[in-house]
Amino acid sequence: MTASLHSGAADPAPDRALNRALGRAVRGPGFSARLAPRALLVASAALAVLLALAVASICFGDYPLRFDQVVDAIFGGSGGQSYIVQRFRLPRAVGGALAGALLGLSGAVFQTLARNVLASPDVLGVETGAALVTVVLMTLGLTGTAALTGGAFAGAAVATAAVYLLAYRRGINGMRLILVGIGVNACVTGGTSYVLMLAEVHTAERAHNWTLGGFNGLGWEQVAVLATGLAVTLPLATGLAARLRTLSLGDGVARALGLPLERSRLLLIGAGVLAAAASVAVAGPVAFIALVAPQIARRLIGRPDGGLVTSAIFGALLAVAADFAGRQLAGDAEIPVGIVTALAGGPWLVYLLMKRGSRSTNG
Amino acid sequence: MDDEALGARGLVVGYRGHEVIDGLDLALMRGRITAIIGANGCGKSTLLRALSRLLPSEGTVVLDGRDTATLSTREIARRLSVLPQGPSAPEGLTVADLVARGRYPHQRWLRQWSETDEAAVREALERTNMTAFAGRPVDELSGGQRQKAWIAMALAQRTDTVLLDEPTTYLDIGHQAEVLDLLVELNVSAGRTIVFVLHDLNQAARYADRVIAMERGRIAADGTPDEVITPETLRAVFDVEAHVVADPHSGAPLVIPASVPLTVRRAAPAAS
Amino acid sequence: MSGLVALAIAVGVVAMLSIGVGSRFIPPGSVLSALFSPGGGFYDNVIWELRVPRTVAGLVIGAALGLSGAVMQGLTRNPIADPGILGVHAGAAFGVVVAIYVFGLLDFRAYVGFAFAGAALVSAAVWLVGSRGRDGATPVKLALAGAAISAFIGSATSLVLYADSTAFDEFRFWSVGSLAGAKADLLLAAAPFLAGGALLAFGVIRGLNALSMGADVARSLGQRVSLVRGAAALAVVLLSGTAVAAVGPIGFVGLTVPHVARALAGPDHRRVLPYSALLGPLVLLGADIVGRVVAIPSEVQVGAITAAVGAPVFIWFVRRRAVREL
Repeated sequence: MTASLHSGAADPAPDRALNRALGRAVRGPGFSARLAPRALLVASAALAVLLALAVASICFGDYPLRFDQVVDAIFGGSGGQSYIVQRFRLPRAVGGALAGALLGLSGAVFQTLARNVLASPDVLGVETGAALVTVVLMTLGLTGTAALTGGAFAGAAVATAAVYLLAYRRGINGMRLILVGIGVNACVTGGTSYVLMLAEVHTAERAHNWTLGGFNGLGWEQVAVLATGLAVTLPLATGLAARLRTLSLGDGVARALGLPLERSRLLLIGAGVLAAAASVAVAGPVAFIALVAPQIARRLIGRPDGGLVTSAIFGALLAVAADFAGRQLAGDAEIPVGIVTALAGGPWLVYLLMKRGSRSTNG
Repeated sequence: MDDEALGARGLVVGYRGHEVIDGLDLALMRGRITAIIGANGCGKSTLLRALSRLLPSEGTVVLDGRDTATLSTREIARRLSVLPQGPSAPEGLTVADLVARGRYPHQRWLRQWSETDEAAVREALERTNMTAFAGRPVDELSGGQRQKAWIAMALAQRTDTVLLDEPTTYLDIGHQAEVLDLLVELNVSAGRTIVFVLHDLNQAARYADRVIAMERGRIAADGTPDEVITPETLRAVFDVEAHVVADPHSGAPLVIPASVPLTVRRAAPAAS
Repeated sequence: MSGLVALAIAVGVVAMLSIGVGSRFIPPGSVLSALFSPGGGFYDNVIWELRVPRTVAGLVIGAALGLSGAVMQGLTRNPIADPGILGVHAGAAFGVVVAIYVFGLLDFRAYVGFAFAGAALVSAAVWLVGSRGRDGATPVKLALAGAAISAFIGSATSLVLYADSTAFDEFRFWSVGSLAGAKADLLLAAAPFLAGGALLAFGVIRGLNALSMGADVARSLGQRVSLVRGAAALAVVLLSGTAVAAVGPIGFVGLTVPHVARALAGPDHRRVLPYSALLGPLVLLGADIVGRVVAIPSEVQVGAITAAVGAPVFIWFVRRRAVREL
């Protein structure tokens, strides 16, 4: 009764509103889950768009193909068209989608974990670590795909481990983690720019192009690396989703609910870093996907922890779309996917900000 | 009635040389409402946090007759819920989702939303009068509603013992009464053991079976409200001169600070 | 006070070292005689044409970076804010790329105007976006706007560099940041901007102190919050925009020096600003000297050294102190 006294309007039809807020339950023997119909709808729609975009990006190119030709080629056709599809366009589309999915997943983990829309794996040194090793390897002339992928992955892993360990002092404190991350990033970036300056101009240019991210030249070997990454990190992260949701209530409440705090955080950071590192190692750092994909998922689903899987799907969608646009927009040339995502993602973030600024009450 | 729900033996909290609490023994009885009071910085929140294992401590904390060191954090969370001071929810999180997260200690990897889970959430929303707000984002509610949403989350945990750190701070008088009435109702109808830290002595006197007054990390006074809320204790614990009279409505002790009222001072400006 | 005096002496020593040390070492006696009784000495030319301008550049640019970082962190109440967040670096870089790509300028000195214009324009855009809404330029909005716009401009820069390898080759040397190119006329041109920025910075000290307790408290103390924020932002742009235009982007100094200053001097901006103004040159000149000797006979640019040398110190600092959550 006091409720109506003290607050504005409650929802008019409480029972329906409650049922909608609680979502649907799926239960079987020894198994139960809570489903949000809207999240399922959003995810399947995004998946359909992703599929359509992927097919379109396989159809268009220097040598346009019809839909039926593409389908034929995918399912084991032979001849020139099938060769183009199987050797170049299909791995590029699949690899791009996987790389984007990994970034979307990683972004969702970090944003929920830090409760900060700007949090991303870069803060922990994934990109700078991978970049340093890549640049060094290129300067040394070790430009084999396996060496570069493995080296970049190792660089990302070492840099993030260094940040985590240097920031660990009786547990992890968010601000200390970020500050140490800034320090390590600066140190590593200093090294990278020094090596870049020593390098001969073509090597430096190649290295710089790597930092823009790109799906050009992705083959099945790289697709296998990306697929392995997703096969490991997606189940790991979704298995930890309940812990992630609990952690996002703050350390005090999470501990009160019986969550093993440091272990959960380490596992989640590990999953997030692993996902981002796999993507960066293969496709270079593609800007903004980790930042924007979870935001889109969140907005469309209408929940703050907008689902790890949905974020991954939107990451894939953005990556494929940006790659497609990058190939179509510049005529003969090709704009690297990372530039397309940043050129489109920057204004999006500004728009978000302006929309929020106009109704913001606390800052 | 006389068995212990939660207790401490030789509890030490703080860093070496800076112990906030140094060797404290305490037994909190099942089915009772206990209020912890004390001046700012006396260690009352620290005690609550140590009892609920939010803070690491030395010594023994006993929950339902078992040393909490032998229980997993999840097992503790199934027996004892605690609402820390000033929790904050992620932007946009709905009340229903927040309350559902109180079920975390009961959930398993494949059992994320059992019938019990759903029933506990519905009951918690109902008890706190928050059903009508289930779909609303927590950060858009008023301060009082928000606090009730958090209490609902703690209730959804369905624990026998509920600890709350200053549950009425920053609430207006109407919401303060609503929150405390709700806790009493939980105690009376569901037999929950309730422990809260309170700033308002009159609320402590009115809503608790037992009042523990703390001073510099020790228990300075412990007993029924009538035994603890006395001018002598108030002087020793809060360093304040006060009259204690019987509340004409409930008979509980009522604290009235002994400072000179404005009207008196205006009438005789030179008096002080 | 004694801390400031000690720091000033340290800066003086480093400045002397900076004149003496290089690919050719000049003994202290010759340094002093060349400085105070020039005329005919063997080293006069080297000292007056190269070392002195470079050292002066290190002093004023270091002070500008330290000051602008302190003002920026006070303005945003964010310990991870550096002038780069206002878009200064991204804007300057874009200005330089435009100078190279559109106007075909290939002279380091010709970039200065473009870099400054780019820095000013982009920071103005960040400010406009970040200060929208009733509550004005709150720290969070400003940081988000800066990140978004910097990323956007940065990718535009990348696009040009990707398309044009000449531009890339020029740009990569500018983008490291170096004191080697600083000459007397450049410093003279920069002086009015730097002086204006420094005056503004010291002028908003009281406002920053009030802001550090929150916008509401600052207002109730009679500060005109939007005026303080605007003046502080202008000071940051003048100081760091000029610095980046003159010597290229040197990131780490503005970010970390204020942390050290606060640890030594406490939270009061009346002390933090002078400390930062002295610590900045100390770090920058120190790094520059290391860069000159670490790879003799060649040199490593100061921008590559500041981070490599400064980062471990900074991390040690962060670990040792309790970090404040914001």
